[in-house]
Amino acid sequence: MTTREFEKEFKRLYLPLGMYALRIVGDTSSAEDIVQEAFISIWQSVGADGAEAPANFKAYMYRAVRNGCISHLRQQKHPEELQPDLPQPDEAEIDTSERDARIWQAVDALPERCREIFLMSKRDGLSNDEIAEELGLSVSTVKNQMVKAMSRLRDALSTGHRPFFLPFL
Amino acid sequence: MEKSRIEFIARHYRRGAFDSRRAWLRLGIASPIAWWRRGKVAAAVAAGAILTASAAILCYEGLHTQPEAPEQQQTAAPAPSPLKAVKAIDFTDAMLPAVLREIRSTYGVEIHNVPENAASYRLTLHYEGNAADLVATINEILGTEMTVSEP
Repeated sequence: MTTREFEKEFKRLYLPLGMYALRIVGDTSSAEDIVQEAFISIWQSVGADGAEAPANFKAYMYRAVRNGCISHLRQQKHPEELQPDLPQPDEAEIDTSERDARIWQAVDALPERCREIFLMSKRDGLSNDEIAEELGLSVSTVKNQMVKAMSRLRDALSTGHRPFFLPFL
Repeated sequence: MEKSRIEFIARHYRRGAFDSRRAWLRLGIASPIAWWRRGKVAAAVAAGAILTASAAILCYEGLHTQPEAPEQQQTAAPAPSPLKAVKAIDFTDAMLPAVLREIRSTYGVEIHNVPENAASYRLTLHYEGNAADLVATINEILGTEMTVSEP
């Protein structure tokens, strides 16, 4: 596997794999570490020696990240978070990860003030009134920004899942 | 379903996290110097600076272990610039403003052009090296354009 091929796969899979790990370990930093370690490990196997990549690279990486998550949870001594039979990643879970990745990217792409308001609402649990007071904005501005944020995130979710006939309508 | 998915992402979202471009740089594969030498806790931010710092330490030790070096040369050496002083620093999931405060006090340097949204960045790092390389590496990882100077 060449460096260029590996880079292409890395950039394609890094975020969805991160979302997959995040769903299991529930911590952003740990999820990033686990995915990074999985890529380092596979690169040491297939990159340095120019060996061939696994036939289904994507499925291989999901399994590697799953195993990394299990190791992480064991090290963190959180057996209650480790389901007795954490299933092998299947198409449904991969699809979930890819949808999560699209939302993450959409949050990244929100205008700064819009993102700030969205996170204050959805992450910090503040009401529109509280956000307005905190940021010195009117409540209607906060509401408008939230509508804009949610609309963009829903658009991101629907991307790639539009019925094929839509372009002909 | 859609709502819970969005709320899940919002709960865990952190600006700059899962940036594949920066993660690729951290991996060090594209660079001739593979600098990813971290343990579970040590951080990405170490970057090439680890190697730079190691080189700096070797040079520094070299200066003090050359028996043939004339004494006059050693005593005439100027005091090292705070920008080049080699020191160790550790953070775990610290906000960027806290990291910058510690860099200022540890190295005795000034840091400029700090981004307005600095508090949205969090860093875990183990670093041993000089302030100039550390700030340059943080810039590379976070995409910021901070500069460092002597006070």
